[in-house]
Amino acid sequence: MSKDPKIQKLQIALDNREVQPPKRNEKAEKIRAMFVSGIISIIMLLTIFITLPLTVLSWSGLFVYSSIVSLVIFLFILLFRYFSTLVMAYLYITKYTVEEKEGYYPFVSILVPVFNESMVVADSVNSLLEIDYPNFEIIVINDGSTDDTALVAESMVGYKKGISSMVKISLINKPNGGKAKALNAGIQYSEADFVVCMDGDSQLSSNSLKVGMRHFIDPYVGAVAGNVKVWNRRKLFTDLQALEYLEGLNLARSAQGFLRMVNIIPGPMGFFRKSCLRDAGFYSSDTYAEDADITLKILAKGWKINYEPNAISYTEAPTTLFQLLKQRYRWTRGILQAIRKHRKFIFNPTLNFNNTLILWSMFYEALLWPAMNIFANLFFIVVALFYGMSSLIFFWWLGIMILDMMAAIYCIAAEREEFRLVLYAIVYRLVFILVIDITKAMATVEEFLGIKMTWGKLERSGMGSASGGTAAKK
Amino acid sequence: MELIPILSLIILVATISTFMLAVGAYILYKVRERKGNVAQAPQPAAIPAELVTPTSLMADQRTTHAGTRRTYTGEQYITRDGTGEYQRFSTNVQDNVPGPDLRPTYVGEQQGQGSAYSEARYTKSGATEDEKYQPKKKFMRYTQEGYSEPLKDKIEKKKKDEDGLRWR
Repeated sequence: MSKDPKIQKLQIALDNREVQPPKRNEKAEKIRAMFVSGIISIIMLLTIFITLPLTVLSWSGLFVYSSIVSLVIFLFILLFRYFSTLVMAYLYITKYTVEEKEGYYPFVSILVPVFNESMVVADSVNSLLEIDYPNFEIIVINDGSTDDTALVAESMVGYKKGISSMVKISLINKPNGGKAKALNAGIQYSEADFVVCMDGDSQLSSNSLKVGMRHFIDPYVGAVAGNVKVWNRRKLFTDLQALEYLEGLNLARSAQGFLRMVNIIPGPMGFFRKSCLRDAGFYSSDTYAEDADITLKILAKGWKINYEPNAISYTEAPTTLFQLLKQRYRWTRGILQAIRKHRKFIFNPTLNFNNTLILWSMFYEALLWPAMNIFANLFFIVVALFYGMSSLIFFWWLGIMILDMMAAIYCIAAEREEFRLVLYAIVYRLVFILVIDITKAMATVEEFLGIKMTWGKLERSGMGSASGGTAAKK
Repeated sequence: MELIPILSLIILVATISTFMLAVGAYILYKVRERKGNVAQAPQPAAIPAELVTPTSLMADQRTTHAGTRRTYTGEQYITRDGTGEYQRFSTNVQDNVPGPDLRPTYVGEQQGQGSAYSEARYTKSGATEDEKYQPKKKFMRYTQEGYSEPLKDKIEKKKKDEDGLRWR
């Protein structure tokens, strides 16, 4: 409990309503999907049965031929994706480096939603007090925690000394309703024109607000995505995730930043203009990836979303396979739910072409890419075991490894990260990404089957103070 | 060169092992998660909450409006002033605004404190919220003098200069 006698507790009422999406008839959708896919399958089988005897191919030859064609197409898509991402990311970082930016220091509310984060909330809030920015407040939203998170957070309420000024820390204790509702509660209470949404277990770099807020000088910019890095490294598992965040997530965000259409503002670090959030209808809790959902809503309304590579948020990555699968399962299903919610843009580019582009890229990353990766690996396993061509899998792995290593070297050089992470590229695609892709594929099947899911809760071990940590901190 | 067959065998074994590990781990994860499934209760339109805040907030709001939060350059950043910029945002703006009609958080009976906070926050002003959020005004630049059209020429000129710099 705080010893400050000037702390007061007030009873308030929060508006719990959200923009409701159009109601779905899930049963009708499933029947329609089964019917359409059944018709398409029958047509394809009939086509094969009728035309195969007219060719020189047999059934096994057809399998081999179609597999090779699929793999060649996959390879072209893979190369196109890698090089287009690298080129756009490079162009964005170059432009970012040379252009001069004015400072912009409006009043900002940093929203910290917490649920059972008693181990980490104090460190997170203390890291916010080290932010070098003259004009901000901190609002902690306790989303019905069942441990002593409320007590820990309450002890931090008051006016605390920041780097440039005194910082007001407030706390909202509300019943459990999920991260989206917690953030909406903070946005309601905040009186600032801009909010920063983060996770309760994240720590921000000291200059993150300064570099993130200057993007809002442009009135077309509605939100800015930050740079998320893994904090708890020095283990194989977390080092692989650190590489994944660098090469898989931040590289893609940098490329999207070039187009000013970042498709997912990460939960640990997102800057928002409040009028933009209002335009988009605030956060919704009807998906398990509220960050993807709000980003798509913002893009659909015509706002631009920039990427700020120097606004860094350090987050704790899962340390066990179980925790990792839980996280990726939720991410995949949440992203698919968000895509489904905005599916009208997928097939109608005249509504918002930018959104169509973004949704197709998300569809590719969430569905097609994992399926192609799994299929390619299975193909080479079958070919090696049943046809004796085991060297093919080696060359496949070698090619992918070289691409990954190339991307890793670029990302690590651009972000001045630890060079030792490049070596993890050797097993990155072979083991780590394969496990992730299998989880994604299973999650995709479950999402299409409509199997219910819950939030789950990642276990935290605490990152310690901002001065410690194993990640290279700028 | 016999290195390639050996490496191929290693890669093959690793890939098969990874498949088995991934599928097995996923099955175990589903079994473990199934035990914790809880039905979700319907959410009410308004929920009670508790706000824990420093007392000095009320003194700031009664005595200082404009200028409470100053920008780094010393310019006055308009937060809540007599014209009710933020009050416009905060008050009920249900008229012709799509999306959720968010009611402002209101402070009910405080524990041992006055209600000046609630009064200051919810005074309705004559200005209309609609003007601020109509589509044509959505991208208006917010300045000390109020909203102004984005200076397209300035932005385009700046972009041209940047292009010149980039392609030098």
